[in-house]
Amino acid sequence: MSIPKLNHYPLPRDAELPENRVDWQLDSNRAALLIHDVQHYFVGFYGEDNPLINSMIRNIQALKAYCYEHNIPVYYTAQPIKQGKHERGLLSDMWGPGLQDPAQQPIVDALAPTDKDVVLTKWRYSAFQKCDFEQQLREQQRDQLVIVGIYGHIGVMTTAVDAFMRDIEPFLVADAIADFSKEEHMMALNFVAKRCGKVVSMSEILGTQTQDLTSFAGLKAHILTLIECEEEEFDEHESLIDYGLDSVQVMNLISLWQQQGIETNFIELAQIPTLAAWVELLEERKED
Amino acid sequence: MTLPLTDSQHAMWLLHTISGRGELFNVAECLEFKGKISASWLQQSLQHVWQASDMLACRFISDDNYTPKLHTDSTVVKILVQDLEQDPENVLAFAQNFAKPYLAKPFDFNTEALMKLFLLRGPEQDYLIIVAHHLLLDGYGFGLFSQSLNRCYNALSKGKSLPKLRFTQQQQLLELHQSDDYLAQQKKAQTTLNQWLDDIPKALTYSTSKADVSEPNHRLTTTFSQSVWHTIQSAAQVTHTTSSEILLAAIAATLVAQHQQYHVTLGLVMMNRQAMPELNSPCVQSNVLPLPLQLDEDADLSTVAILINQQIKALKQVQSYRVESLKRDRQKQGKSLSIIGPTINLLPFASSPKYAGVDTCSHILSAGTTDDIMLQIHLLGDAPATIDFDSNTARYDIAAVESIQERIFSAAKLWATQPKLSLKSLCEQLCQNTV
Repeated sequence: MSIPKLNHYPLPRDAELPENRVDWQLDSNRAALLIHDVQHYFVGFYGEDNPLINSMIRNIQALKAYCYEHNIPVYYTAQPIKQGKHERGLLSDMWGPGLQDPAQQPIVDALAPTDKDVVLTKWRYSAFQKCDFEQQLREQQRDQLVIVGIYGHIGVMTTAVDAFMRDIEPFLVADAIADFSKEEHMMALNFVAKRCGKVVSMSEILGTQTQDLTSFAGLKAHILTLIECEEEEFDEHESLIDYGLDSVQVMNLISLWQQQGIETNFIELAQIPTLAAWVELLEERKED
Repeated sequence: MTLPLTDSQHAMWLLHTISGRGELFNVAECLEFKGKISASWLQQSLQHVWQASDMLACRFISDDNYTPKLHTDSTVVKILVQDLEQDPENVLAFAQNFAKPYLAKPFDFNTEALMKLFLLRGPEQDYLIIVAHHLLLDGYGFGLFSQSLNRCYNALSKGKSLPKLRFTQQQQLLELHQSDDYLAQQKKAQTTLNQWLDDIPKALTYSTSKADVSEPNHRLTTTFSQSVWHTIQSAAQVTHTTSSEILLAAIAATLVAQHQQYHVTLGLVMMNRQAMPELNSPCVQSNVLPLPLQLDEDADLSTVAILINQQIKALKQVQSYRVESLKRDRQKQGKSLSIIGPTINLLPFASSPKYAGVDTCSHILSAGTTDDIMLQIHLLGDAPATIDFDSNTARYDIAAVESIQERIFSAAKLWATQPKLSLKSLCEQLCQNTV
């Protein structure tokens, strides 16, 4: 009945994100950040030193720093301990008694709230339920909500739905959320993108560039991380197989391109194993 | 024209001839078309591909002294067309059953082309079954052949001229393999591989019994669940390696757990194609070589996966020296011929090309034979990997193969979930699970 033991999985890459129906633009004068339920209790189900949680925390730290820099208010949700049956309602039937140990209640140390932040008490899946969160946002003249934290397909997604129904634009940060599994993570992103919000990535919010693996520069930079060769010694007309690029790395590239809608296969790449020829092939496929 | 064989072709010819069981080296694949295709365009495409290289358009003829030669023969194989009353529900089982008698019959090298093709036409779908000898095509060669067939078919369907195929000719490959540089590389590889084997204990596998390659093989196929595969992918990111190296680490861990010995030697199928003439040859080039791994009990997943990565890089430098020659060296020196443990074949060649808009799906019906156990790991990008456990039934019964499969999948899941776990702790957990 309790939350299961959770494993790590890779956070979605930009190319995997669903297409958004809306073209809302995040505005630092209208936005607030919500760091959802990142309490020891919920994080604990991932075990110690979990790579997924480590990545999510690193990304939330960067996002929080960005919000401070742009005067975007930061909110947290945290569930209280030892809720009575009446307080916890149907959540008990679904998940059992929930948080009992006071030591498990605080937000994890790496994301500990500061005096500038507001910590909301969380009662139900949605952060808006049994709480004056909406009113607080209105007072701050905020009608956009950037949501990060855990768990993607439960509280995070439900809060996004609730925000939407209150005419607050929800923005889900795809790579600053963790979930039970990648399937459920992607389900939450797909639902929000199609029905109630906008799915964004860290790089989109922070304005950082992601490598375009179909461009000469992006592909070259990526390949240089896979082979043992200094940039100045690399020749784009030399065989990548001679440089030591192996078949599994080529397969990984094929799946990354596939996510961008470009179909290639190992054999055709192996027949023309140079960076220059691959970029030319990718250009042809883009035109197709 | 008559030409000598390459080392790889010759090794396969010898295996075929000496074993007296040439059918063991037959391979087969079924290409399932998710719709109807043109038999005439397919035959025209085959003709173009077949005649693009004398390595296909040939016979492997031997004289009374058992010296095989490649004799060019441009006669194109005919695709035999058969109608089916209904489309099969289980395509793989149907195709295996169809291919069975052809797989069981050895090719006659002196008279036959080493490939047979059948186009089976159901009411809704078509199925192309290809049975070939391993000498003609290895895994990569099969991919090269299929991809070229597809390119030609699509060109015909668009009314375009047939594409110029860059296939290598036998003479080009011979010249490469007889070049001073190549021979020097092979000589160096011979020294290195023998040195490796001198430095390590006898290779152990999952079984302690022996069997002949001619004993029947059995296949167990298992696919990772989506969630476990995601964890493996994530562990690959964390350890800066690849999912295949994590699988190899898991396989090595199961052998450590079984034998309580931290030295493992896997057999790794090497593509053995570096230079352009090799990359454009359909014929057999692949080689199986020892991948020795000296592991530390305190090593975590990252350490083991990185070691595997480095060893594979080292193995690539020596992959041109054939395993048959290496075994001969060991025999001459009076040393053990048990030079490899279980054989691992990493297959990244999956592709599902469209034939004039018709989707396809490929089913591997037989990828050869083994005297021990061979793990054919199909790497499918983001989709979970599938492993075929092909085992020799004289050494492994079904329960034994299932146990090996369970141990490998458990090791992969446990170690990917907890990458910091030491090899020793992982092995302890695996032993507990087995008990």
